[in-house]
Amino acid sequence: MATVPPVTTNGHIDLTQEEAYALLDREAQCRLGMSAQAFITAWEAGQFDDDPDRPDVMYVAMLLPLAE
Amino acid sequence: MAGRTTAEAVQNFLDPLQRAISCVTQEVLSVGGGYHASPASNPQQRHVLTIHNSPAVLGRDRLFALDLVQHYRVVEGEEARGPWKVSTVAYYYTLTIAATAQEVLGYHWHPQGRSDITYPHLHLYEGVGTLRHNLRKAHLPTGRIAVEDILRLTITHFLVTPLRKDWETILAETQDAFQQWRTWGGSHPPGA
Repeated sequence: MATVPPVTTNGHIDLTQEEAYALLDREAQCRLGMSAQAFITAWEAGQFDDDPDRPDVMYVAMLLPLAE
Repeated sequence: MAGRTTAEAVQNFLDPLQRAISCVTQEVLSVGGGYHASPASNPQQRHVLTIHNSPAVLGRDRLFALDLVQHYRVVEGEEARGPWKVSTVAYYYTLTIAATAQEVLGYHWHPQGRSDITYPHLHLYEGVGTLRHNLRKAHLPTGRIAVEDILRLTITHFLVTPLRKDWETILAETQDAFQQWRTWGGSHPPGA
């Protein structure tokens, strides 16, 4: 299981595909208390459609391309 | 931002952003999606940029924190902006009170999301209530706003009952006419 790499430079971090998914998973857990996979399933099923603009939901949704 | 290669275009896009955020935080950016070109056949495919440890606590006083995400595509540019350029296709900027994580305001643009709102917009959250003194003097930046934008807002979000059924068509037509003749869009007029 990949982990989010530590910050070691003052530039930017190019995430590998595994690291990108780990970052999405970390944020979904931290903000919404669910795994990345659980969020993806709920998002695609429209379970947040009553209020998709909730800032914590929108933030995690904006990270979804990290899983692609 | 443009470059001779896709990697150079992305680097030219990231460097000024990292420099800009260094004014208020030591956090670094994380980028997902590499440097490859975004296929024209798949407009949904985009790269993601975010703050590595988000929200980033801001400044020396550490009162506020920022969540930042951008989506961008690496596409072929025109001659002066190419052969490769980075094009931003969505953004999410939300300011929170660092101590409580309470949201204050958010500038969002997510035209491909599940929300019906596809234009750039500003949210004011509950956190503004604790900042009323600051907000009275704050001049929140926006793009240029047309009269039609305000009228549409009153009807769609503040439940003003329109006097005519064809209000959507009327507002679309008059706003189109305005936009054809206006001399600037964006957030600042030329020279300002």
